[in-house]
Amino acid sequence: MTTFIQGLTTGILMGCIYAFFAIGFTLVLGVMKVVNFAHGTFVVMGMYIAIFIFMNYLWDPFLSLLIVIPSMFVFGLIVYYIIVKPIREQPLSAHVIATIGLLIIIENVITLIFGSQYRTVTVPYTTSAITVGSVRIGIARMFAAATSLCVVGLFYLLLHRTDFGRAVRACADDIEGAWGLGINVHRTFLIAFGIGSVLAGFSGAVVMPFAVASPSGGLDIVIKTFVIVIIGGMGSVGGALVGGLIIGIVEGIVSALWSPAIAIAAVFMILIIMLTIKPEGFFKKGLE
Amino acid sequence: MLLSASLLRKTLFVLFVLALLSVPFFIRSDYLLTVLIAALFGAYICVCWNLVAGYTGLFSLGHQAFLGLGAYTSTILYVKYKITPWMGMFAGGMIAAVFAASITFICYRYRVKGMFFAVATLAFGFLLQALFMTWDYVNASTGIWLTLQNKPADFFFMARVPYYWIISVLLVISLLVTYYLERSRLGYYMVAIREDEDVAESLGVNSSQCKVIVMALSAFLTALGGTFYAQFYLYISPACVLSIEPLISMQVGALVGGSGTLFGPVIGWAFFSFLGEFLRGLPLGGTAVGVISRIIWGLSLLIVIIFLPTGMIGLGRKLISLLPFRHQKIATQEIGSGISPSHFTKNEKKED
Repeated sequence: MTTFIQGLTTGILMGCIYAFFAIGFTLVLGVMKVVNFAHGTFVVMGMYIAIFIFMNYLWDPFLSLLIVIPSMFVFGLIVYYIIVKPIREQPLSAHVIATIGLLIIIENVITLIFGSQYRTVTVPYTTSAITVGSVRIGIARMFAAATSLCVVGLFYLLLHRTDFGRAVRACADDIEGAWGLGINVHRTFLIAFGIGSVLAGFSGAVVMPFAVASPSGGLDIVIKTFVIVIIGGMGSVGGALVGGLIIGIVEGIVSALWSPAIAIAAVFMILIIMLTIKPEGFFKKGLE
Repeated sequence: MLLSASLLRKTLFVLFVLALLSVPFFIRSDYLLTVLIAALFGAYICVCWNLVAGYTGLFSLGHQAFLGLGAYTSTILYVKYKITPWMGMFAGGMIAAVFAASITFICYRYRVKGMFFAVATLAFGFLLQALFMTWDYVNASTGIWLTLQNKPADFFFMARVPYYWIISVLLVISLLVTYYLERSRLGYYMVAIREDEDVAESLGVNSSQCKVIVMALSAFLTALGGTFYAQFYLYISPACVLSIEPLISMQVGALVGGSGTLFGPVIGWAFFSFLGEFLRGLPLGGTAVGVISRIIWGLSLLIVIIFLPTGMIGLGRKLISLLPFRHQKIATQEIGSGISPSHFTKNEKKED
């Protein structure tokens, strides 16, 4: 029973973080219908920027956000101009190929700079934990989950309470209509992609105090993101949170009761089952 | 005399096969042969993947799973039950084909199409890798070693040349399969499905049957390659045969060479093997070679998808059609008709 509760707690915390991983992806997919297979690698990029800053200046990963956020934004803009804009109107297979190409490039550039070994960031609170009853909760994980929840909430407000958010949702619904309303669709897409990259890098930096980074971790993250988005619906922030929690809890409980490898297998099973249960037509749904 | 397209293709094919088979008579160096065998193996799996992705538009991202199933089936049968890999090869092929057919059928049944098919197959590959990582019967993540011995009856050779013959024959078989499919009813169905599945179905193409057959065929051939991999490198583990790495080389070779064409994958992979060897010759240090060549893989994927959706073959055709020979121009246009891969650009809106 204790193991179960332990797994559940870890799962809930990880679920919030997974939701954070997914919102940038779901934004890009929902708004411009671009499947970004490199999203997970953007997360890894955020991790490595935080690692780089920690290695050179001993800044806490949360402090390194000051650098992660602007650099990921600029990176997102560059990627948008070079890759996303030319392929946006092409079929999805072109998105898959182009973003896998991008994934390979980023992954190997990171390997070239940092080597392929696993890396961690050890801050004073990395190993500290609070104990409630018989359940241990890592402080670093709690910080990351709390930040994730805040950012997901803020992102929801950005989409629903600001003019920019309304413009984004208008573009998601109907591009021609958005042009007609005087929205500069290209600029909206550009900024939305930039924000998507920022969210990815941000989430990567936030998990660094307890996570283990490796250059090839991106595909794993992007598959989890896919499961979350398919459960929650394209472009839905609330759905991403629900999907993230489901994945996190399943993974937490399965890896506490059996083994982490079976937990990975369970996540992939969920994906295959979700894909088969839910018929085509995810893209009909815009941003909620 | 008008040089007809099909004659040109046949001549090219025969010349290619002759060149391929004559290599061991000229090259004696074991090192060069090893490099060539690795290159032919890469080209072979590229051709297999091209069959589903290039011709049928089924963007399978789980082909490494079939490679792994082939390698594991024959190796397990040999190590545990002493069944010769020559038989195990076909057992592995059948198992991979059954898996491929069931995935494709399930995906068709629940209308998982396009990108979602890609994601489902990707998940299948990762699922299999995760399972093999924990499955003690197949030595979990440690993998299985085979001992080097001289037993031609069990698919072990001390020399390199027999391996060269085997992979050449496999490559020629896969090319012949592609060649005959291209001109067969099934081949036309495949291209029709790639171009527009709904229209193809409305014209009476049984798209589920067609997809299942092609996917099973491609998985079968890929699994044969898996057995070859196990017998040649004498070591398999979930981290090598079941990883995403072989899949990425299949994609890169087929797409950069020209997907949906007969020789595209071979040309593409030949280019990348040459590049790899070229980089190895530069003073870069051990790991940097692999990393840099992969960066070039990624860049070429981007270039192909943004500027050159027809790949190197398309570029070659364009260049040939610029030559001032009328007959050849007709011939190349004939080759280009009907089978040029337009599935990357077909959704582009035409301006009225």
